[in-house]
This record gives sequence, structure tokens and C-alpha cells, in this order.
Amino acid sequence: MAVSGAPPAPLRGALESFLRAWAQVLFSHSPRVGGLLLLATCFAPATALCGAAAAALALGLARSAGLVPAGVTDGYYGTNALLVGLGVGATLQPGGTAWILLCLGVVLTLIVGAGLRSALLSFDLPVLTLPFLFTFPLVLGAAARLAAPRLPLASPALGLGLPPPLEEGLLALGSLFFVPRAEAGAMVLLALLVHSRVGTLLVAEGLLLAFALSWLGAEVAPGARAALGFNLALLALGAGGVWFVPGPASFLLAAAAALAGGLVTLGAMPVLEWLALPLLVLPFNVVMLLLLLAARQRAPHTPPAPAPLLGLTPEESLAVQRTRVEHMGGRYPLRIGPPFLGRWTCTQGSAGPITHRGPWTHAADFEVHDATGRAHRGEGRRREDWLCYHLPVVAPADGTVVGVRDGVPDNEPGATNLRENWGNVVVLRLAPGLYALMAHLSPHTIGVKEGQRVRRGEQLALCGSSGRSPTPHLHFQLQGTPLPGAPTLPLELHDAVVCGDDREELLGALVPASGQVIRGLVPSADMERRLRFEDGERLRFQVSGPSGERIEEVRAEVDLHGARLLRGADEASMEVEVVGGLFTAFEPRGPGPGALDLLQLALGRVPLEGDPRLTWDARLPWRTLRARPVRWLLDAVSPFRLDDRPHLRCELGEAGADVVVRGESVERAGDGRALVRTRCVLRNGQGPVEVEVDLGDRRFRAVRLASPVDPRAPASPAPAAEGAR
Amino acid sequence: MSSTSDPRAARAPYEPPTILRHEPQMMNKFSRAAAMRPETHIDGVAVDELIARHGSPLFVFSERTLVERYRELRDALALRWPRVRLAWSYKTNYLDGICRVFHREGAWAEVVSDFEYAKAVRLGVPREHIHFNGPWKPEAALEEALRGGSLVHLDHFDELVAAERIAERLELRPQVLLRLSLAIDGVPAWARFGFDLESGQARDAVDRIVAGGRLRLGGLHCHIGTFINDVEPYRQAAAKVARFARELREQLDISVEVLDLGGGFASHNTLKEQYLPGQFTPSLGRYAEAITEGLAELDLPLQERPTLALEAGRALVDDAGYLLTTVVANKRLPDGRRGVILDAGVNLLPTAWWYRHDVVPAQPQHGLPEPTVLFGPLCMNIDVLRDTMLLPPLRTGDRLLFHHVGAYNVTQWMQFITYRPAVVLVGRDGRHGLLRRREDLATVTAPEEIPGWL
Amino acid sequence: MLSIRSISDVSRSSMDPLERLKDLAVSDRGFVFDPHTGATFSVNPSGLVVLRGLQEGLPRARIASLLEASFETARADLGRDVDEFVSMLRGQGIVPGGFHA
Repeated sequence: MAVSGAPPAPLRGALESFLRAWAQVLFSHSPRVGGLLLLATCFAPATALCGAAAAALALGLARSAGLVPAGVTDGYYGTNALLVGLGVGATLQPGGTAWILLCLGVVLTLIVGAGLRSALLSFDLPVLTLPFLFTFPLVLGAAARLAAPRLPLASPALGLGLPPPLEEGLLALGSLFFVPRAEAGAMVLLALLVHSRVGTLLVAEGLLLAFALSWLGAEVAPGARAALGFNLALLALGAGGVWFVPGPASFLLAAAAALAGGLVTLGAMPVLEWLALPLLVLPFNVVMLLLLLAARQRAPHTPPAPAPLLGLTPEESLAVQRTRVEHMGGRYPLRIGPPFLGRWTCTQGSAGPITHRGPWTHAADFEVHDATGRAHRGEGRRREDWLCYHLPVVAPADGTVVGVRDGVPDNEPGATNLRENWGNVVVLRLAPGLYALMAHLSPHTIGVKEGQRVRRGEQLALCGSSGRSPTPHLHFQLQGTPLPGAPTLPLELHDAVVCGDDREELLGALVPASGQVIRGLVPSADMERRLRFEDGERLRFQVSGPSGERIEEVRAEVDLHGARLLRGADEASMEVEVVGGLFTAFEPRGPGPGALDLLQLALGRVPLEGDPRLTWDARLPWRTLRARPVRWLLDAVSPFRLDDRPHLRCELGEAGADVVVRGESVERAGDGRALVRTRCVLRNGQGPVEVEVDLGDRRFRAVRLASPVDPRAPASPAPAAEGAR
Repeated sequence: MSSTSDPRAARAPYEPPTILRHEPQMMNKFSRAAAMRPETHIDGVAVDELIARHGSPLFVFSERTLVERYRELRDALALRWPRVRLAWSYKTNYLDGICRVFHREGAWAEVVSDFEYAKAVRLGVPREHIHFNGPWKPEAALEEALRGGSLVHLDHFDELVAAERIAERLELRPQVLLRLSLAIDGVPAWARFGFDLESGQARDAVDRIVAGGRLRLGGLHCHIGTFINDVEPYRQAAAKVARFARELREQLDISVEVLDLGGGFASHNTLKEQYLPGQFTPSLGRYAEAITEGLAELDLPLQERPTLALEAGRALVDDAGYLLTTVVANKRLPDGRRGVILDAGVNLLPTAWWYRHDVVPAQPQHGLPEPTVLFGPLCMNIDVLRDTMLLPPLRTGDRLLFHHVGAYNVTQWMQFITYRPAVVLVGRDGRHGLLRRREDLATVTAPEEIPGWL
Repeated sequence: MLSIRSISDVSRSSMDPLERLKDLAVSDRGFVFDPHTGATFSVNPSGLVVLRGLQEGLPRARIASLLEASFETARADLGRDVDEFVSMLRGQGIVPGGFHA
């Protein structure tokens, strides 16, 4: 569920939860958006009052009933109750009976809400607005029984004189909140814009499709047209940007979902009329749940990708996904390192001319070469002369041993064994449908057994020359099934370093090519200490930028799964991760720019080696540093454009005992200066003590201050002359 | 599968196989005897240009060779061991420029005195990246090292106690290593250094550290000798240290983070009493192989193994150093040998006491080689740089190139009778620059004073 | 690798020629050291291939094909060159008379 910060004051917290209940209708977690939606409903004051009362009641009851706090603070329990309240306020005349029905409705919603949550969470499905859908018809039925007077059906007010599609769309939006007025709809639209520009586009897509459908048939009543509108709008929003990463494919999916919803709406209408039940958001709930279930049948990595995390706006979701893809090549769910220690040379890459063809295209052969490029000592006529012979072969990632073949003898150099092609092999299962195979190993050196779990870097065997191997070398491939000889999957090494004479380049995803000298990252304890954030650690920064200065406190948390989170001001939060010697900071969530945004720009990707020759690229978002209008425009276009994120070329330097991480964008401004320059000073024992982001016309800076609780912070950042590097 | 490429990618043109004995009388165009072939350039820079710019005699270092040797050792270890650290032995050559080349490649610093410690810090080495060795660490230096987080290698119980006292006073819990003295076949025992392993002294020291509760045992260190041109002693030493580490792990539940196997690897020089020429010194890769094989006694999976540290000196820098010297006179000795007087003496080249250096003319020579003695310019009978080697006739002004002088000469040389010459570095792109200026009168007299009453 | 420190380590009695050949220290650059006499030699690249082959006890024909594989040559009878080389070894006293590949 949503990421929420601990409320600093109880009253403020309650208000935020309350407002979030409104925002959740549009899948938002922002109290600001909720506030705008509240204002939207105020165009029908009675409705608004009932809705507010219902939401408040529900949240209060949920808290006192001891329901899980996260569900309370993110407004989950309030949303369904809110909708019931709005419905009661719009349908029944104010009076005692109405209020009683409201309260009962709220209680029932809570129970159903909590119950469904337990039930559906184990299927990994959201509850959506099913409790409301269940409760409200019951309330209406009870109202009929109790002869509670109903309000006359408000005719949709078409007062604004806008073109019909727009007017109908606004009406539909307003009707979602039981306020069938275009003005209310306009307010909802505003709230939507504030929440997400991409979301607005998706909703527009849904509304347009609804308009097209109802234009096809003149028989659809205005009220039904509104229902068609808001159901399709929600479907488009959900399928296009909430549960899937926005992009061209997701917009297509949104259209498909909306059209399916249209069918359900139109088809269900006659039935529901006959049963005297309201349509409400039934089509949305049904189609959305079915869509989420159906999506599980897809082959992995078919676009649109499922959202990486829930609780993000579509833009944030896209940004996080892009960074994930950037870091891991997007193809495999885990990071795969080289199956050896030190520097080896790739002698045949994928689609290699000698043996990597056809179903076994994707593979790499590795040998060890000396400084002059020779793979052996002397004449190379004995196996032991070959430099890679009997060197350790290690597990490229955590996994389970599923296949071992041993006993095939090593060949003398020049001889080869065509009967046992693969020689001695170890096959590891890294993930469902993903296996790694290491071949031509030396006999009786395999130290692992089938069924054994191994960790990344653990020794499996020694390099040999068994099988189809005229000279000692290591063959490495990824495949989809465990048997040796299975067709290969595209080979990538993640966070691998390509070694040049003087420069070494860290690549997020490397396809080994013939002639490349490759090694894995070897983290140094020193660098690990500089970027380790302990649970509960607090860092105080003085953040200064064009809009002024302020002091911001960043708290580090480690959750149950071991994920590290940094929390900043204004509910901002940012995930950081250390895997295989690489430190990554993901997109911060929340309004920027704050200390977290600066930290992420400067430390988005840092190899935990102290080697100053290592350079690497990072592509980082800088949307929070752009002015708001530009930000909004770019957001709207972001699913369709290729990244406009700058490519930062990064390197390490030293300034005395401090390590400085520097980045400079490849993209240049008109005058030749780099568009973005970043700098971060990491001090031993304290971590980041200074961060600077220079955008040419604007500069942002965060300087670490001593915090009263943190005994390790510096008294004042000591100036140090930067070493040449 | 494999690349079936022929190991010799481009095939050389064929010449019928021949073998030629290195004999003085054989002077023909096939001869490859080292003494015959002149070497006129160092890393592409002409000897004449270097001498014209910086004078003679002249120490010249090759950056390319320094980097190659460092990377050779580092890579050989990295292929076999997950976490590796090399510390540059300052006493071998502590010129700022040389040290900076190694630090730039990622080396830590290994120092054995307060002077070397201060020099490393001044050069910008972080204190946490300094190994502090040696049998005498003055109190102030020890305190500075402990406070700064340097890795102190304790040599004896007095030092252990002193370290504890300092740590107590400063309220620190520093990590220290214990230097072990081991009995190794084929290598003279250096029992005077460290805590003896076989007699149980080392174990006592560990127990003492644990009991003291103030110091933390960060690792084990040993340094088995100097100029060891066989890999077997290292295999043994590694195995003994590894067994001890395993014992500590199994019996005391202490997992050390670092195993430091010191240095002492031979370079390509030939010791005077050595029969096998220096060309046959084992490669750094073989040392790495023997050490990592010996360490298998740790009996730990790869990722749990401690960091392997080495403190190499001579093996990295010797081959990178050259001495250029000029002939100033010729003599005929009574026993018929030719004597040549050079402008560099044993005060500049103390390693001439230990090695038969490879010496080559730096310009083409003609004429038959004959037994020659190389003397320095000092007024001392022992000033002999090379005793009786075969060299062609040399005239005054001719230059000679001494190989493999990079280790210990520019730290042990003495200013005696002559000024000490300049030291230059030839870069990988052909640039050359000073590492140390040639001395002059002011250099020598600057620290002198005359007492008032004289 | 040999770690011979003094000449007394090495017996001078007559030895199996293959043993004698194996005792030669041969560096990758073609520098050869004979511990039995203390003499040093140089071999050219093709000589290095032949000498190493002899040290491994390979037959003449095999050594000849190694030469062919390793060098650009149009010469027909490399076996003759191998024989010539062996006779040079005899001449240098490295192998006894009568030794053949």
C-alpha cells in the first residue's frame, strides 16, 4: 500500500488522513489533491457535508477499532465510506432516517472493507471500491423499506456553454462524486492536474471514449452517460498509469480497458434497471480486477510493465521504472555478475563466429590474458601454462545448483572432446525460467552438489579444459531451462567494469564482446562505510537554493524486508539500495526540491570502490529541479518521449581523506557548459557532508550540520583542497 | 565453446633454429649476449637527451614499468582471491613521485618509522590506509597512528602494552595486527621480528589482546625474508598463517579481517652468490599462486575469506629503475684487466654490494669485449660497482646503463664525497620530469651550523 | 623453476640426455642456462620451439610440425633443421654424441 510518513502532530495527521480519503478516489495520496476534491463537492453542500461526516466517522471508528494504522493514515478506510456518504447526501432528503442510514452504511463499509482487504491481499489484488459497491445499494434498499424520502434526481446542469464532449466529461467527473455539475467536474479536473498530468491525459482518453460510445447510441440517458464517463475514466486511469507504467502500450491498454468497461456498462444497464440497482462504479471494479488477474498470464517483460511500486503517481512510477531498467537492463529481475574473480578477457561473445550460433547464440567465452595479450606462459603446450587454468569459477548471482556434470577429463592443449561437448558443467537456477551454465570446468574440482543453495561469489569449481575445449577457458551462458544444450537467453553482466589502459568503465548492463577485459566490482570496506545509512540515523542538512534556505532533517529507516528508506521533509522519501558493490538511490517521492533530491542526483549510482580510475554513467531525473510549468509540460509528454534525463558522467576523486563523487552531464548548454554538474563529499564515519547541484542558472546546495542527537556529525565541514583527479 | 585461435596470432617469419653460447670471443651479428647489445633509449626517451637535461650520473625510473609490475601482481592476486590489498613498502623507495604512482593505482602505504609515516601523510595518504610496521615505534608516532586509524603491526609485548596504554588514554578501541615469526624451510629465520608462532608466543599474544579488552585483533602479518627467489617458502608461510587463523576462529571465535603476507619477493637482479641468473626469478603470478594455494588452509568459502594484503617493494620497483653513468677514465690494471672509472660510486649504488647488476653500454660499441672492472670515482678501495665483466672497449664520455636499480638505492644511498645526482621519471607518453633534484653545496651545508666558540 | 644456489648441488656424472635437457633453464625470451656447466646461451624463436620440444621428449616429426604451425615458412624439410639443431646441441656439449630426437 501507500508509503506514508508518521504525522508530526495528531491533529494535522487526522486532517491529512481525512483529506487523503478524498484523494484516494483518484488513486492519489496527496492531501492537497484531497482538499481540492473536497472543494469540488462543495458545489452541492449537503452532499459534501454527508460525505465529510461519513469519512470522518469511518476514520474515527477505524482508529478506535484498532485497524492497521497504515490503512487509516492513507485514507483507505475513509474512501469507501466517503462515497457512501456522498451517495446518501445526494440521494436522500436530509433527516433523521438519512443520518441513521449513513452511520449504518459507514459501519458496514468498514467491516466489508477490512474483510475484503484480508481476503484479497493474499491474492495480491486491491480492494478498489468494492465495499462501497456492496454497501450503497443496501443502503438504498433499506431507505426504500424505511420509506425515507428521496431527493428528486438532479438533472445534470449543463450551464457552462462548453462544447458537448467537454461539458459531458466534466459532468461525468462531477458525477463520480455524486455532484453532477460541470463546475464540480472542473474542480475535479483541477485536482487531477495537480495530482498527475499523465493521469489527466488518461482520464481524458477514457472520457473521450465514453463520449464516442454514447454518441453512437442516442438512447443513453444523461445520467447513464455520466456513469459511462466516470467508469471509463477510472479504468483508463487505473490501467494506463496506476497499476501499469505509463507509456504508449499502457495508453493502448487503457483504451482497451475503457472499451471493455463500456461494454460492461451498456450491457449491465438493462439488467440493473430491471433489478432497480444503481450502476455506480460496478463496471470499473469488475473490469479492473479482471484485468489485473488477466495480466498475470502475460509473458514477462511485455509492455506495459506492471508498476514497480504502488502509491506513486504515474509520473513517479515511470521514473522509477526507467531507473530500474537503466540499472538492470530491464531484462532480468536480478543482477548477474561475472562468474570469476579479477580481470578476464572475453574471447568470443554472443553470436561469436566460432561456436556461438543458432540456439546457442548468447554466450561468452573467457580467458585470462597477460599484459602483452597472451593467454599462456611459454609455448602454451601444457594445460598448466594457460593463465586461466584452475582459477576459481564462482556463482554469478544467488541461486540453487540444479545440475552438475563431473568426471570429464581435461584435454591437452590442441585436443578437443566432441563427445562430451560441454565437459564438466554446473547449472544454477537464478530465478524462475532463468538458469546460468558454466562449462568446460576441470574434473573433480566442483565443490557444490545439486540442490545446494549458493550465494553470489561463492566458488563452484575450477576453470578447466574439458569437453569441446582445445585450450583452457570458461564458457558462460544464460538459458531458460536447466538442461545443458537448452537454447540460450540474451547474456548480460550487470554492474560490470570494462577495463581499458587507464580508464575503467562501469556499465549497468554489459553484453560481453570479444576482446573486452571485464571484471566485477569489489567493494571496499571504506566506501561501504561512507554510504551506509543505519536504521534510525538522522542527518541534518542546511539546504539552500534559488528559493531560499532551510534546515531539513533526513531520517534513515530499514524496513522488515531490509529495504533502506530515507525520509525527508514534506513526506518526501527515497529508497536506497546496495547490491553487489553498487550503491543506488532511486527517485525520491514527494514535492521537491529537498535534500533527498539533491542526494539522489549526486549519489544516484555510486560504485563502492575507491578506485579513482572508475567512471560510470548515471541517468537521473531532474524534474523536481525544473520550474513547475516546465515540469508539468514534461510530465504530460513523458510516457511518449524518450528520456530527457541528462546523462551524467561520474567519477571519484579525493580531497584529503574525503571521497568526492563528481558528475557532469554530457549534454551541454548553449555556451558549452555542462547542463548539470553534481558534487558530493563523503566523509569517513559520517557519510555525505556536502552536496552541490549546479544547473548553470541555479545552484542547489546541502551542507551537513551537527545534529544534537547524532554524535558523529562534523562540527563544521572542514575545507579541503581537492586532489588532482 | 572456445576460441580456437592459435596462441601466436600473427605468425612470425621462419628462421632455422640456432643456439649460441655466450662467449667473449664470439662477436658476430647473431649474438644476443646482453653485454653486446647497446640500449640507447629508456621507454623511448634517448639516454643522451636525459643526460643532457639532467646531468650524469642519473637515476631514471620508468612509469610504464612501475604500473605494469603493480598491475601484474594485483591482477594475479585478484584472479584467485576476492579481496586483495597491496601496500607499497616505503623503505624500498620513498620518493614522492614513485609513491604517488603506486597510490594512484590504488596502493596503500607500508611504513616502518615515524619519518616514513609523516612522509606518507604529507603525500596525502589517508591514515586509515597506512600499515605501520617495525620493531621500534616511538610513543608519539604510535599514538598518532592509533588515533588516526592506521593499521599498527605489533612486533613485541612491550609494544602491545604501550599500544594498550595509549588506547586506554585516548579511549579508543583500535584494530591491530600481530606480526608472526615463522620457521620456513629454505629461508633463514628472522626470529628477531614479531611473535614466534611455533613456540606458542603468538598465541599468548592473542590471548593477551583478548584479555586486555582494549585492542582488537584485526589480522595477522608475517614477512619471511628478503629477495626470496623461490615460491615454496611463501606457500609454506601462507599455510602456517592460515592454520593459525583457523585455530583462532575455531577455538577463540575470532575472525581476522586481514592476512598480510608481507613482501620479500625477488626481482630480476642476480645476487652475487646466486648461481641461477636473475632472469629466472619466478613471475609475480607464481608467487600469487603459491600464496593463495597455501591460504586454502583457512577452509573458508570464498566470500568469507579475509582480505589478503601484501607489502611488495623490490619486486615492483627494482626493474623500473636505471642508473646512467659516464666513463671518466680508463686504466690498465697490472693483472691485465681493464679498469674503467665511472662518475657514480657505491655511495650512490649500495646494491652493488649485493648484486651482479646487468650493465649495458648505452651507445653502439665496436671491438672485442674483454674482462673489465667498473670502479666508481670515490677514493676508497671498496668502490667497485661491478667486478670483472666482459665489456667492449669504452672511451671517456661513453655511457653505461645499469639495470634493476630501483629498489633501496635512492633510500640507502649516502652523500659521501660526491653530490647525489638527480632522479627523473620517464612517463608513459615519453615525457620526463624530476623526482629529486641533484644536490649541490647548499643542500649539504644547509643543516650545518658552527658552534659559537669556533 | 630451479632454485639452485651453488654448483655443488648438481651432479656432474653422466646423465640420461633427456634429464640433462630438462635441467636446462629456458626463459620465454630464449635465454638458456645450463646448470651443469654454468654456461649461458641464446636461442632464436624457432630454436626455442625445438628446444622445448626436445625437453618434452617429443619425436622429431612432431617437433617439425610444431615449427610449421608456429611460423610462416615454405620450407619443405623442417626435420632437417631439427637435426641440425640437435647437432649444435651436441657441439655445445649439452647432449652426448649419438643423441637423436
